[in-house]
Amino acid sequence: MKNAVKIVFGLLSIVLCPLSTQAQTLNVQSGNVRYLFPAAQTSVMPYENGTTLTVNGKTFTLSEVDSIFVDETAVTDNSVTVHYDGATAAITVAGNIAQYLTIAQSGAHVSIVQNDAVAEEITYTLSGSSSDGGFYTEGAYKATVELNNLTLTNVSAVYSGAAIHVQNSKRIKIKPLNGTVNTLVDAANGKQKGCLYVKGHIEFAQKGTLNVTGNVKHGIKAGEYFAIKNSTVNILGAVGDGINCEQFFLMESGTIAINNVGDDGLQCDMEDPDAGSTGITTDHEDEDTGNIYISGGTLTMNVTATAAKGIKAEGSVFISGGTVTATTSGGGMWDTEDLETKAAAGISSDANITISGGTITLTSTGSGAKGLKCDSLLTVTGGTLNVKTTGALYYNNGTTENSNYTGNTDNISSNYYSSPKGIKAGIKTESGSGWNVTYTYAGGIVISGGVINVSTAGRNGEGIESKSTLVISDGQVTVNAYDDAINAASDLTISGGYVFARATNNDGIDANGNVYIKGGLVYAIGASSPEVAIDANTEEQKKLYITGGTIIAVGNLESGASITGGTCKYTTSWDGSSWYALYNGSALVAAFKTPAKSSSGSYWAPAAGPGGGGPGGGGSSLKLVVYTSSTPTLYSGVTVSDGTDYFDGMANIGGSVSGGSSVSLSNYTSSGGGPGGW
Amino acid sequence: MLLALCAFGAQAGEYAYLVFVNQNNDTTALSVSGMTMRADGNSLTVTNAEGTVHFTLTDLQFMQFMTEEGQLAQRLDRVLDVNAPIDVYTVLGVMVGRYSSLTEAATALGKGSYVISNGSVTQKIVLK
Repeated sequence: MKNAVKIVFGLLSIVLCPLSTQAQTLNVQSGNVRYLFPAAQTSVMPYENGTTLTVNGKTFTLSEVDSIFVDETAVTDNSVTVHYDGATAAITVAGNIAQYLTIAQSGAHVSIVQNDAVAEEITYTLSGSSSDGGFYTEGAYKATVELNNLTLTNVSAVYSGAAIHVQNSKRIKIKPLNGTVNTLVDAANGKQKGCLYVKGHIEFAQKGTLNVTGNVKHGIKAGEYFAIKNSTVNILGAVGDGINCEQFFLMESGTIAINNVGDDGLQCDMEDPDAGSTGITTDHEDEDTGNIYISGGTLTMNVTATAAKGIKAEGSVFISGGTVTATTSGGGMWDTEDLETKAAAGISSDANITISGGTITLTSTGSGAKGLKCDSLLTVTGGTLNVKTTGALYYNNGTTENSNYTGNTDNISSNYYSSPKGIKAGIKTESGSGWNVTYTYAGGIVISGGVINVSTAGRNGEGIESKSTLVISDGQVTVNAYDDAINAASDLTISGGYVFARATNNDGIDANGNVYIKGGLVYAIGASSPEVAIDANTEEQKKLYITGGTIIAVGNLESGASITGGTCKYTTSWDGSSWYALYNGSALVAAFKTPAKSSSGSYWAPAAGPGGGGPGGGGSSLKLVVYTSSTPTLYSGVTVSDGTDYFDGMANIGGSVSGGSSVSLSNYTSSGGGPGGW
Repeated sequence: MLLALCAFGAQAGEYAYLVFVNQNNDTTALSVSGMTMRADGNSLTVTNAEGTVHFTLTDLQFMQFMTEEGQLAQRLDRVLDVNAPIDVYTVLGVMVGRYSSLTEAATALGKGSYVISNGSVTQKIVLK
């Protein structure tokens, strides 16, 4: 009989199982750990040599058992609870998994190691409070960590310096339970990568709140991807990034707020950059792209560090919903490895950025800081993108730094300065030298929807700059910039949408290639000569081609423009800050407000702002140029009602106009424009 | 077969007793009401609502929850011999095969729940 028991319950690991579930629970208390065995799961419990008792595969040394008792405690299979209470913690372990866990404890520092035989997901529920505690777990099977009003500060860094450290490469769910508020602070003397560190991938769920402070490196570090639904995560501070993850970042709902970080707000890298990107996979299975996906929720960050990014992706950024607000205030720096200046940005991608929804607000105030920057293609098909930079031009050649550089940058290496642009996308690569210089272009900007508002105030602050081509086919684009409002290093095409481009110190619209205006409503305001409203690169035999749409231009058009498909007229007699009505034949196209003019009337006078003192005076009055597909007529001093405001109140579409006086217009000739600036 | 198995396994009521079995297969059934146990040296002291019982640990073979006071004693009289031939069924009553011993069956079968029978004793087992 005894041998039979040994064989059945020991060597062969066969357990006799009653088919019904009973309420009795056998509790085995060993130190601060209580193992809970439902009677129905216990079957035969052998004693061996009077020294051990084995219950459901878990062998206890009786001398280490404080007590055994039977009660009716409800037991949830695969569950572990840890309740922190000051300098200690009480642990319960469901009997069905007791045999798979090795538990160690030092004060309120708890270590639980799963062995590889675990075949079901274990849920760890952490609660209570400790001013010097931590939770460390290892395993090779996916797991869940529930946070039930947990307040945990790690000081002693016993098993890890992290407040919660999950040394497990599988999917780890982190659940701040509904309605709970949880706070984690890690040990300042530890070596952890994050206050909340997960070697594998993190999936946040449930509508609780988690507050995190990272005293050594990141607030939250995931060795693989990071996904969030519903939860509220507040990064209260971090020495490094607020959230740092690999593979990809996915936010579908919930709230993330990141403040007081020493580096980027959110950074996502590829886990294995040497292997290269896997590309986007179905349901992100085994994806390693460094991509950031935001389809819902609220993501807010305020980063102050030098050259820090609000959102930084080694891969691409996709925003299809939600609210994203990134504010940066850090200035520029000299990168001793790349031997070039680096500056802050609200969103930065080493690849593409695609915006199809949501509301994105990016504000950067540091010297040289940009709003949005991507190294390849920016695509906007929907959503609202608000970008504002107020920083000055940053200069640093490795020995001399100037955070308010006012010199001319035309003849210095681009490595030595960073311009406070609103949006910059694409790559222009130069090869050769002298007369043999050639350029290649990659990426660029494609806008086919959405609402984009950009303003810059600092020197060299272009509003929207493509280092390749730029195409606008729909949407609303409003730019108020210190430098070129809209600029393309290659060709620039507008075939639809509503485009407002006002530059206080350069061209309204400028391309180093050809400019094609085929449709849409374009309102461009350039600075006084030699800058123009719309500029193509005639110096290199490029040209402005106008074949359709509606154009309102304050300032000249590029000399030698090809104007077909309609009629272009102009006047030099126009009032500043006055409403005009533009008709195409007899049809009202738009009402628009002119910019303020200088007291001499020789140039329009932008409002003074940081770095924006307005253009130097031109020798002649600026033209007000209009183009429509038929014959444009213009009325000044009109009163506008109803309709929809565009361009931050500088135009009205679909409204009614009354009053006003007819404006005498002259035919515009392509030779009548200026040469345009750079 | 299935009905018979269910009748055996699905015990009515709660596990009201914890039965202690010594090396001679003598059984002591104690009510679990208010039961606590404490080991001290070679002694196991068990206290419940009815009183206190002391066991010598080295003399204990195993303990097991039971629904009825005399249930385990009856079962011990006809416990399944692991070295005797057995029939193995799925939990739905479909025969898996006949093996020369439980040891052979355990080696041959994959993980899962089974019902084994030697004709007089029928039990559910779980292979892990």
